[in-house]
Amino acid sequence: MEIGHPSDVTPLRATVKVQNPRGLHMRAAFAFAKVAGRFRSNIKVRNDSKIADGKSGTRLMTLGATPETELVLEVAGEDAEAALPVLTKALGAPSADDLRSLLD
Amino acid sequence: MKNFLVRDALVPSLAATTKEGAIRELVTALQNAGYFRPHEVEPVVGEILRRESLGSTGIGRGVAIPHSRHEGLPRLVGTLGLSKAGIPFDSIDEQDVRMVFLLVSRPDQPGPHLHALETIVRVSESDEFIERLMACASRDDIWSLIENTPDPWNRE
Repeated sequence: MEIGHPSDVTPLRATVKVQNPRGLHMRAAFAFAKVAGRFRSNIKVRNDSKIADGKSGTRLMTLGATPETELVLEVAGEDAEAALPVLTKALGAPSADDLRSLLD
Repeated sequence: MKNFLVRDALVPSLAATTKEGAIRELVTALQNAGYFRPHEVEPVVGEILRRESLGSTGIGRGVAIPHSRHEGLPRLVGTLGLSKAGIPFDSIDEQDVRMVFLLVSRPDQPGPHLHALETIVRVSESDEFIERLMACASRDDIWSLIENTPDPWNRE
């Protein structure tokens, strides 16, 4: 059986509202990227027309995601079903410190 | 960038050779430009260093964005210091830092801070911008480059 390239796979999607009162600031972005890096799937985060690689804290900062922004999480790959709930929780975490529990 | 960087606080050649020294030099430059009172310098430096202790703000490509929040500012204020020699910063790519963008924001205004982070990351992705910035020898050179660098929105 031939396995398709991850980009050929229809991604699983979730809309996540930014709950952090400081928005997706630098430390929150890097903490999310660390969680995302634990999965093999291709992970993207969209803010309207802007899109960033979810495994790059630096790229996530280019989303300029302020509090209450609705982001779209897209996860495609072999562990997408396991990743989506974890990443949804991480992206909606009220503070960067809350992401630590997801890294343990 | 000209909306948050303070022209009179730009430092074309940092004297500091350490992370703490560079942060103190840039906060002092903001104080000399009228944004802090003298007794506020050390608390602001301390707060920025505390933030650094949670994870370096050296984002790679020779760029760092040390930052903190501080009550009583009229708006987000930032400055930029250049170091030709490079400063050890525990950056994610382990490279020394040559461009230090220091930001101090109002605690109640996350939007301008996020906007500034986005802007700095995007302009820093341009090899041409970095080359031109590192060629600046004076405050006027830096300001001229900043004025001629539009906010790079939605390039993707």
